Amino acid sequence: MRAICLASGKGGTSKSSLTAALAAWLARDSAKLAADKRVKVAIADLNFDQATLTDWWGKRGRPLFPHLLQLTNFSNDLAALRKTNWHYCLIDTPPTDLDVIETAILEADATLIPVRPSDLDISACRAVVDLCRRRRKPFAFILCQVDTRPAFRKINDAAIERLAEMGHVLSTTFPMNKAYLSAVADPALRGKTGHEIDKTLEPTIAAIWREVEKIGATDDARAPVAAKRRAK
Amino acid sequence: MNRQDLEAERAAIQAELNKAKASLGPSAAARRKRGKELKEAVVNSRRLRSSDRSETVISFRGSQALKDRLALKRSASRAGGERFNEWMERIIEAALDAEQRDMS
Repeated sequence: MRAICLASGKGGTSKSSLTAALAAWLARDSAKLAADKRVKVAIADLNFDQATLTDWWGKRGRPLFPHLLQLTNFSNDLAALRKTNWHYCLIDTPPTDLDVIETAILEADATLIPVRPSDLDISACRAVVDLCRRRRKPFAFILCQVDTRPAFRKINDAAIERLAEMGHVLSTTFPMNKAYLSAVADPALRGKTGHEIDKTLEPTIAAIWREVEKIGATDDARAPVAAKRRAK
Repeated sequence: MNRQDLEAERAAIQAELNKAKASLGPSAAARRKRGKELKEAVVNSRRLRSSDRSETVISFRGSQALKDRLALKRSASRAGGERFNEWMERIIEAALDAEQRDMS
């Protein structure tokens, strides 16, 4: 099993949205498949105060997959998933409780750090980076809520360069897209994620997952983006 | 899949996970006993502060030789950046294990 922790050390960076989107993507065909062919995906909501992911899962109609982990002792819960041959577990963390974040980092195989292209977000994620380094756990950044309009290109590039100084940055970004927000206006869309509402976002979420799955898997995946760019 | 089948399958998944959890590590009774031992092992804990230094001194059952060994381990684990509470728990568990070995 591969357990991925999403942590950023700050609220509003798209941790829960990205966890939900990736979980929904991984479990996309599970309902149609025979039991032995399913991708067994679990989600763990360690953001106990807000329980955003739990709320999303409830609004989605409490599906079998992704399965929301009933937390009793997180280490044991995750060990039980590993023992029963689950494929993936995505762990959402609270914004600022570093003890909980550290536990999640320790138990996960890799950490994905969502960061908005903002100076405050980049500063705030350093605490999580420190925890990953101290615990010798692989991590990577993903730039989230990215405005892809040309006027924002310079800002996005600068954010990527700054993050690349600290570690690997995924080459795919999580875009600012109205599909991810449309559930606000349409109750029928609650519990759905962006790529389920707007199919054109599917290749993006697929590309993000391909990169996330590789975090820590090879040395190449950890090489800073800046170094790769310089090598080109 | 209808609602009834869904709930049946959800229950099956949860039962499988619960079974796996139950088979992990020591039993609940053993964990409770261990927790009690951990609490009882600590005799005293106090914080020492001065203008240039601050440290927590924990007194617990064990021989002087054992305490010296633990002090060495503490220095080593501090260098590795281990969190204090984790260190304390691990070190007291080690002390209890050592005592049990000495007694048996």
